[in-house]
Amino acid sequence: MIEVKDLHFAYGSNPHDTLRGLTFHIDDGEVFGFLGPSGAGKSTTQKILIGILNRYRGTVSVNGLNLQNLNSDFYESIGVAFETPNLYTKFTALENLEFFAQFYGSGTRDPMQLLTAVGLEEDAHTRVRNFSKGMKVRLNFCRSLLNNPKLIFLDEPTAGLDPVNLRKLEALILKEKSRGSTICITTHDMHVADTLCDRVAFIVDGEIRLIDSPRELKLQHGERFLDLEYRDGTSLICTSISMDKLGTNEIFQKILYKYHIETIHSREASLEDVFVKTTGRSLQ
Amino acid sequence: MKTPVMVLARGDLKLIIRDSTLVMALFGPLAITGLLFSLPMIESLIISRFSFDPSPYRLFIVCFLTQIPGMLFAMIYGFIILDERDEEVIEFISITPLRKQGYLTYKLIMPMLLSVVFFLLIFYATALVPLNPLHGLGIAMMVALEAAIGTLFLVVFSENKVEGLAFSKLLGIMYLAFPLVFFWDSGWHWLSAFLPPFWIAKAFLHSHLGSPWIWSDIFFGVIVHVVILLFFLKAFLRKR
Amino acid sequence: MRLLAALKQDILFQFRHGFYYVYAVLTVLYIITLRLLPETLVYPTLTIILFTDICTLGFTFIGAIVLLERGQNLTESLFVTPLRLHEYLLAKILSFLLLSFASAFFVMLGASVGGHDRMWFVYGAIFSALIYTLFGLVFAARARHVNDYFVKSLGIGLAISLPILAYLRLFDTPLFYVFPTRATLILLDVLDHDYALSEKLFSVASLFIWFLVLSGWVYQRFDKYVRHPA
Repeated sequence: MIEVKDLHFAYGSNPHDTLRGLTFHIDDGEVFGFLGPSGAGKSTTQKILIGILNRYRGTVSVNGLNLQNLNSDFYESIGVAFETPNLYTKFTALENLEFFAQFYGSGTRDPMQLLTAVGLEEDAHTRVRNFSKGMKVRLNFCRSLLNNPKLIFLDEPTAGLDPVNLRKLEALILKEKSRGSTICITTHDMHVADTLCDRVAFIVDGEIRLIDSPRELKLQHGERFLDLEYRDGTSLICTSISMDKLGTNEIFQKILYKYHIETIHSREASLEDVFVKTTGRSLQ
Repeated sequence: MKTPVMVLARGDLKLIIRDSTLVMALFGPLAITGLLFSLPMIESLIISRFSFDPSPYRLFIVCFLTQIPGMLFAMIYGFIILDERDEEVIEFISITPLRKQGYLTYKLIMPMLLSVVFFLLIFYATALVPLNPLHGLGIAMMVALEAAIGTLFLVVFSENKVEGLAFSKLLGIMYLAFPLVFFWDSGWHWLSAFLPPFWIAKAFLHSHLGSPWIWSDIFFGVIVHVVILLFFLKAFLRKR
Repeated sequence: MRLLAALKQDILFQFRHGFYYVYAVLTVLYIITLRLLPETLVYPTLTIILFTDICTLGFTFIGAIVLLERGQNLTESLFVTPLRLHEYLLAKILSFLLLSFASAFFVMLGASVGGHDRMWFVYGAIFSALIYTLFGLVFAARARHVNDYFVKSLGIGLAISLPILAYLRLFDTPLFYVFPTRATLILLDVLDHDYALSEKLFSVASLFIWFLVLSGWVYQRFDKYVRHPA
C-alpha cells in the first residue's frame, strides 16, 4: 500500500531536517501507528503521505503511485482527519458533511448515519460554533469517512475525547479496518496505539527507532514471570513465578490449590516501557 | 509595579507593531487631514471641471470629514477586540484582577481619546470653518462617545473579523444623518434623531447659524450617545 | 459538480457573514443618493461608487475570508478532497462577482441610469470585479493576519488606483495605460463620456490580459503557499 524509502524533509528555510531518513512500508488492511512525543515528526510524515508537503527528498509511493506525480483524483479514495478539527463554524454539522461529500465522484456515505455512529445525531442541525472540542473531534472523524476511503489518515484522533466517546471511536476505527481499509494513525497515547495498531513505529527526532507489533514488543521486552498476590490467613503474600513450564511448577500449583488468590499478572512490558527503553525518551 | 492597564497598553503596542496596524491606523486619519488641507484647491478644481460650485457645501464637507478619523479608530479597536476574542485573551483577562469590565473600559477609552484629539486638532488646525471653542468641546464629547459606540457596534454584532469587516461598512451608514440634517428641509429629518451623528450635525449647524439651540443639541446629543453606549455595553458583557 | 458545490458554499458563507444584508442596505442608499443628486453629478458619482466599492469589494473582503479559512485550517481539509485548486479559486472569484454584479445591477436599475454603450460598461464592471478579487488573492496567499493583509494590499491598492487622477483630469501620463484601473475607469465612464473605439478596445484587451496574468500568478502562489505550505 505505502512504500517509503529514505525520506528526508526540512521546513522552509530551516537548515535542519525535521525528518531524517525514514524507511518503512504499510501493508494493505493494516492499522499502522506512528508513536512519539510531540515535535518528533509524526504529523509531518503523515502530511507527506497525504501529499500536502511535497518538497521532500527520498521516494514515497502510495498504491504504486509516486507522490511526486499526484493529481487531485488521488483524494477520491483517501480520508483524512487532521489534528485540529477544521470545520465551517457558521454551518451545522450536517451541512459541513454534506458540503465535503459533494467533492467526491463515487458514492459517499449517508452523513446522518455517520453522525449517529459517533453519537452526534441530535446535534446534526447545530452550528459547529456551538460544539465542544470533543464534538468537533468526532465530527472531524466523520468527515474522514465520507467517501468510503480505502486509506485513512488520522492525526491524534482521540485528543480531547472523554472515555465513553474514546471507546466509541476506537470501535469505529476497528470497524473500518474490518471493511478492509488501511489506516495510518499518529498518536502519543499509548493506550490507543496498543488497542488499535497492528504495528507501531517509534519516532523520535525525525527518525524511526523501531517498528513492530505492540504485542511482540511487549513480550520481547517483558520478563517471563507471573506476579501473584494471595491470602494466607490474614496476611497478604506477594510472589513471582517463572512462566516456563508453569503447568508442572509445584509451588504455583500449591498456591492455586490451597490459597485464595487475589491478583495474577504476567510481567510483559507496557508499550510505554518499551518506548522509554528503546528511545531514551518519555512520550510526553 | 505594573498596573494591569500598563500591561494591556504594552500588549496593544506590540500587536499594533506586529501587524503594522499602526501604518493603517495613522494612514487613514492622515489622509483625511491631507484632504482637508487641500479642500480649497479641490473646490476650485470641481468648479472648473464639473461646472458645479461646491462652496455652499463646505461646512457639511468639513464636519463630515472630521468624523472619519474617529470612525477609523473605532474600527481599529473593534478589530483588536475581535482578534483577542478569537485568541481567548478576553477569557484570560476576565479572571485577572482587571476583569472583563476593566479590559473593556481600557479598550474603549483608547479610541475615545484618539478620536477627540484628532478631531480637535484637525478641525482647528485647518480652520476651514469657524467654530466656537465651547461648542467645539461639546461636540468633541459626542465624538468621543461615538468612537466607543462604533467599537462596541462591531464587537457586539460580529463573531469574527470577516463579519466585522462587513459590519464596518454599515457603521458608515450612521453618518447618513449628516446629509439628512443639512439638506432635508422637511421636519421628517427628525426621524434620524436616534442616530448619534444626527446631534453632532445639528450642533454644527446651530453653532454656525449662531442659534441658542446648540446647547440643547449638545445636551440631548450626549444623552442619546450615552443611552446607546450603555445598551451596547450591556450586550457585550452579556455575550459569552 | 465540484465547482458548483464550492461556489454555493462560498455564497452561503458570505450570506451568513452578513455580506448580502450589508450590500442590500448599501445598494438602497446608493440608489437614494443617485436619485437626489443634481443631473450633472449622477454619472461621475456612479463611476466613483462602482470603482471604490461595488466593483472592487472583492479586494476588501477576500483577504479576510481566505485568512479566516486558513486560520481554521479549512483550506487544508479542502485540498485533501478531489477539489481542484482552480475550482477553489474560481468559486471565490465568482462568488464576489455575483455580489458585485447584483449590487451594480440594482443600483443602475434603481437609479435608472444607462446608455447606448452599455455593453462596454458591463464588460468593464465584470472584469474589474474579477481583477480586484484576483489582486486580493495574490496578497491573501501569504498574509499572516487580516491586518497584515490590509497593510500589504493597501500600498498596492493605492498605487494601482493612481489613474483615478486621470479620470478626475488632474494628471495624465501614457504610463497609466499599463494600469488595469485606467481601463476600468474608461469602461465605467462610457455612459458619461464618449471614448474612441480604439480606446475602448484597448481597455477591453488590457483588462483581459491582466485577468490572465493575475490568474496564473494567483494559482502559482496558492499552490506554493496554501496547498503545499512548508
